[in-house]
Amino acid sequence: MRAGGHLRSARICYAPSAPMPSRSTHCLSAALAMSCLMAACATTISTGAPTKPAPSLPTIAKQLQLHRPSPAPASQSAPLLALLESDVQRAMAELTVRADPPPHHLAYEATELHAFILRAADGALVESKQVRRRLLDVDVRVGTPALDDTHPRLEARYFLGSAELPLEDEPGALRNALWLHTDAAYKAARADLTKVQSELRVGIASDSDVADFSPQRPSRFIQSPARVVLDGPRWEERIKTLSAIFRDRPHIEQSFVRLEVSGATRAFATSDGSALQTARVHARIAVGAAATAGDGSALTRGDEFDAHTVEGLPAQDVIAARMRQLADELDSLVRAPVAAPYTGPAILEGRAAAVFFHEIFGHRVEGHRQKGDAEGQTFADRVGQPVMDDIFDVYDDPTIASVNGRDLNGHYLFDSEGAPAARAQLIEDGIFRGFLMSRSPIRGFDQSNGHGRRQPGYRAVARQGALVVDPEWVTSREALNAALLAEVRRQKKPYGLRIGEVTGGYTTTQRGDPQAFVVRPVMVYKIHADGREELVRGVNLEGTPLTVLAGVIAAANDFQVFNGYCEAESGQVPVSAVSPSLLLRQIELSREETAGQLPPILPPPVFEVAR
Amino acid sequence: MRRNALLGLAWVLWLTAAGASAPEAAGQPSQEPAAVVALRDEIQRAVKLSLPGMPSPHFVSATLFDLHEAAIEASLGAVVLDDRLHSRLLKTEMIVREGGLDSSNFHGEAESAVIAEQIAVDDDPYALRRAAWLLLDRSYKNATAVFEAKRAHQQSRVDGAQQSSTLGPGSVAIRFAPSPGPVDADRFVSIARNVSQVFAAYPDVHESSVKIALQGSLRTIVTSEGSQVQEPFIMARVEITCRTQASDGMPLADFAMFSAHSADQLPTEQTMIAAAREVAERVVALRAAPVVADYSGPVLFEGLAAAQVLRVLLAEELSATPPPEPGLGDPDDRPAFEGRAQWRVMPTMFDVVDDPLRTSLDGNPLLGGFEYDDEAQRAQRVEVIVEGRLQNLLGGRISSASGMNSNGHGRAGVTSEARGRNSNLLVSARKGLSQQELRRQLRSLAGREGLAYGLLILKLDEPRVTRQALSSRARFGGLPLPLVMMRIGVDGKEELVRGGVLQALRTRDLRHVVAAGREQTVYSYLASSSPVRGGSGGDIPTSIAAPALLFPDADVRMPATAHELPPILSRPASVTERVQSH
Repeated sequence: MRAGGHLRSARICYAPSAPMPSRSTHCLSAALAMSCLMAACATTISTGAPTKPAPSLPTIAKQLQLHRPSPAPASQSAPLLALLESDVQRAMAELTVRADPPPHHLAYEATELHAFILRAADGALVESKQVRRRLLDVDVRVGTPALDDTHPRLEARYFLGSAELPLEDEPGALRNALWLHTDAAYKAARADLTKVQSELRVGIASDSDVADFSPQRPSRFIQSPARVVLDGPRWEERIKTLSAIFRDRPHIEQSFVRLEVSGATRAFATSDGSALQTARVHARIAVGAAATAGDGSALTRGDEFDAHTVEGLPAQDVIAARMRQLADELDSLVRAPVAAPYTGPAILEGRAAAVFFHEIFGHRVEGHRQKGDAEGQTFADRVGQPVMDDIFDVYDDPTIASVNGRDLNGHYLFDSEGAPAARAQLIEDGIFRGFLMSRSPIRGFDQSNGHGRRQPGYRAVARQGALVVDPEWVTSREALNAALLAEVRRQKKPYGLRIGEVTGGYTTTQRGDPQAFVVRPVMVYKIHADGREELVRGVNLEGTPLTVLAGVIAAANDFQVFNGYCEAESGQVPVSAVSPSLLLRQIELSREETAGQLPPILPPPVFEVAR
Repeated sequence: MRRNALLGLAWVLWLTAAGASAPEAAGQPSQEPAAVVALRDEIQRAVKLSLPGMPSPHFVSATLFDLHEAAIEASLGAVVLDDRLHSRLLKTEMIVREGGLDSSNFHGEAESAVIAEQIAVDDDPYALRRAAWLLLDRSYKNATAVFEAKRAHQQSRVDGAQQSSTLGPGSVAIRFAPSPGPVDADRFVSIARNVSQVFAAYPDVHESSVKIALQGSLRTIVTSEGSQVQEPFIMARVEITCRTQASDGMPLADFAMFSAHSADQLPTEQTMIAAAREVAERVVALRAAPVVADYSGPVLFEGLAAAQVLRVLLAEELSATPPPEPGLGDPDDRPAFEGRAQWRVMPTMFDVVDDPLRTSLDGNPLLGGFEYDDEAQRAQRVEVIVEGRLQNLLGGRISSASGMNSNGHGRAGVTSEARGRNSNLLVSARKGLSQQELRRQLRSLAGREGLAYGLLILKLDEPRVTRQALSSRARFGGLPLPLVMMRIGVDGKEELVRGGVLQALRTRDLRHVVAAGREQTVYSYLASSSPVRGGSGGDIPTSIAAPALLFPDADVRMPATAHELPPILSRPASVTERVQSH
């Protein structure tokens, strides 16, 4: 829950796409979160060392192709970067002389965004717009690298605010904005340092023996600016045609098809000599539909198609087929029974498993969460200890641009603090190895591994980029299904579960909050002992991370990519998670909230008559 | 004028309906617009909505806004923003009724029955009908929840039944008009760039911007009573702003605003450049000006400041629509003029009319006009105050049980319900004085009080334009901070001063204004659609024309808050290099 720019309670949400207009929400209320988490506390699952999976599963060759491109540097000049470089040195030199205390680090980041956004619903165009913005972020660190204004304290400030820069390379206008916002950022950082020092004096601030800022070898890399062009009329027709697919389904109340093609060129210069210009093009088609069940539950189905170029988006017929499938699934959900709370074995299918790992594990290994007394520090004392079965490796590697031909939303070359993106080995052979690191050191880990990330306007902290669950061996999907049924019988359960899709989730990581997660599955199937499948709805998947990780016992060979946007202290950042389908010995389902909204009283207008 | 030309294309037909006024003119539509037909068809279905045990729809309306907008902003010769947008918003409203009680004008915990959503810009009747179907469904369900809450609230009050608002009678109108179409903003990019470049010559101005906003819209209202009213609206605005800090850290700002009924009517680039120079030079002068001392005595409001004062003290008190329940009964929420017809509320020299049918005053455009209000009622010129006595308040269709009928002033924001609001409020003074005579009178009053000077205020802050932090008084509906203020010495010496907060001026102080000007200044702004007075922001175009006002007694005090330090870093020389080298 965010208030006044501070994250008072670390509830971290993961959402695949823009929410459905006016109907759905990806974050639960605090009150609801508490009730769900209390339910999770009632489970009794062994938290001991991981047990070996069923030994009888056949292994097959793993299909996991990771593509890491080597982008070419630009041949052309970068005038905005050159201006940032000269001004960051000028401002640093002047502040060093005139400011008391002086800053020890200064960074400028200008993010130029050019986006095309098209949205259609019911076969008609709702929105067609271009957005052009240039945002300036100024990071001033006041004090010393050992102790500066970012030191963990009770009411840490993460939202700093961006300034709008001119869209044109007019030096006078640009320099005036840099001047004013550097001055304001310095004053704010100086005020923060005073609060840190005051909290240290009265013993509230923590981790005084760990430095606040790590050195980083300066990087210099210039990519050509991101250029996006869109054949607007052709794409308008494409998405209008697609959106008509949902219009013709009587159970669908609201729906959308949205295309966003954006180019972001980022110029970054620091007082310690880094100068970077990187470009990111992202194309996404998001589709979504909403219906209301007879009991008032709001039901949604949606999907996203992401690519690093417009041309990389799937063909029209591929998207259309997926939309028809989503419409069918939504129709089935409207008629599906509400599931009862349950504990037992389950298969999490690839994309659901990917989101699951992002929530239950990824957020807890973000470096800054091991720092300061406010955080739960679930993994702080687990380095070198087993946390999963020894077949599992888990790492976060933003240098991976695509997996098995699917582009990753979480791919980048340099993080928001100028550190080169690098693979962070988190779990190796089931042993916990380390954390996602920004330039904020923690005990035993004093260097960034290129995971300091932020949305413009926020302070960078360690975040996920491209999280990969990579088991040493995998089995076939059929064998995994058989293993589920065997586990159902072994646990004497009436049925197991198959979780096909999730729509998002959140996790709480701060002390005082339950160290728990909630993931919202949308396609949940009961798998009866006789192999019969039954779709159910109305449940959340929840639990505590150490218990659940220990219960992952096998993986299939069907790696899938989940692309989305993750919301936390440092704002919303694009992320990916990659996982095969996983067999879990035990998961817990609880009832989800219901909107209590009646379905529309009248039938929809009749299409032919209205025409 | 383009607006009138567009209105000329429209035809008007008044129909008679149950409870409606007599028809005015006759004619036959050649073809109903597709959007009107789609909304009418869905409304005809929506009037049959029902839930067990709940009242039925009594009044249903749908308003479609087709908006073409352009926003251009430049600073120091460079474009910061250039957005063009075509969007459509559909707003639905439902009032349910049972017995003598309806669901109108109640703001409890239930969700509002007025709902707005962005919808398709394509002329696709089916997409429009689907959107209307869902919004009207929600409006009805919300209206029943509001009705239940209102009934429960009324049952808990001794006088509830007498006080509750209801929907009053209205007339039915049919009128079709074309959309003004896209706005042509391309030529304003270079104008914004050139005007903003003016500030580069003023190194003591820290921040500056030139914003040009163009809007062309078509509003389509369809009601369950049979009204089908389309009305185009075009607006062009320019805001030139600069900000700085004095050496003691005090924030200083000034602005110039221009409004017109079309882009073609905006001032020339040269006029805007001159205005930019004027505000830059004034801000530079303010940096060197002394800080105003605590003051109690006569204050003269000239130019824009007089109209800004009347916005707070007069215009926001003129609504005939009762404040929404359940706040009803709290004396602080009651409009100052409620129940005061024929009371003297200003000196006898003042006359006030509100005329939505007027488009200009002495060549100055008035932006608050319309032919039909947001409840599809015919606009009317209303005499508000005659010779200082209150005659009429400004009403929409929502009124108290003992209240008046609409006089064509039901005005709503794009996403809110209509309330009685001013449109073009024209305040005039009989035997008004010249600027020289007024300033002489200010000096005379000050002298009589033993003061060395009187205060002249030329401009109050316009926080939406200057982005200044609001003082607590302004935030809660008080007067904004004075931006441009002068001491007028008893000896005739005039001196610019800075700082200060206006205190203790209330609506009743209008009774004691001792003199007023001959000339009127037009102030156009976007009024808040909040049902609470003094709400910030807003989207309701409004104009006030006012003469200078001399108050015999007002307090100006220094604000208690400390200022931010001036910049530690020196301003980069290259910001002004280009200008100096030319």
